[in-house]
Amino acid sequence: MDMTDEGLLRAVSVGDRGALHLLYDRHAPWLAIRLARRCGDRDAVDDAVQDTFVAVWRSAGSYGASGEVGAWIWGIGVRRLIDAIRRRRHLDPPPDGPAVHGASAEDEVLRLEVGELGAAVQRLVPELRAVVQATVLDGLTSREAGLLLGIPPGTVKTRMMRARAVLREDRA
Amino acid sequence: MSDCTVSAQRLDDYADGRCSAGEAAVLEVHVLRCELCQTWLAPRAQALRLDRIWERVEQRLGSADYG
Repeated sequence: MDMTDEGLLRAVSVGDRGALHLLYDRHAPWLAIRLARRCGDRDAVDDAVQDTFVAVWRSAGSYGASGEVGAWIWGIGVRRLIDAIRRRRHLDPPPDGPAVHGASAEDEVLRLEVGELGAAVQRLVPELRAVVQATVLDGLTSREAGLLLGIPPGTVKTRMMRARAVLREDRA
Repeated sequence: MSDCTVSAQRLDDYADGRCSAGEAAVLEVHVLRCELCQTWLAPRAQALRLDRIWERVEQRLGSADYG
């Protein structure tokens, strides 16, 4: 068996349960730790990890082989965490319509190198840091980030703009 | 993987929630693609009930289509 992440995903896509278990052993630990840093509700984290690997089983064939498998799994996991939080808060799914998305601000932050990003995140006050973390690092929309952080999507967008201004001042 | 320079102490601090947000941000990007770090973190996640979660995954797969 091809033991690379990509090889294991290919095996999963044709129904190899053992390959899924190997992927789980490799990726579930860091995923659980990272999700636990985002959410203090251990049951929500458990549900998110479980839902993630059920989703991997069902959608392995849709992995596009572009980008890291870990990043693909994280993208699934953080959204399953949002779903788990939403279920616990008994919220309805978000209404259809355009998501509020501060893409331009995120794009500006994304221009930083990884090392710079860590330093930049550290310089921000906690409320701005949390928004940068959720949108830039975790890849969430403003709506999803708002749900994770317990603030309205518009506040996410406003804080992202403030974060951009702070980072721009720092680099000037 | 072979060029990984992340220390075990940094990973332990991250897993235990003792590192800064900035440090965590850098590590999280790295861990996505570093099998060595993923392997190191595995035993640190035991408290997160991964065996039980896997049992639930298997139960759900067993009760659904395999495709």
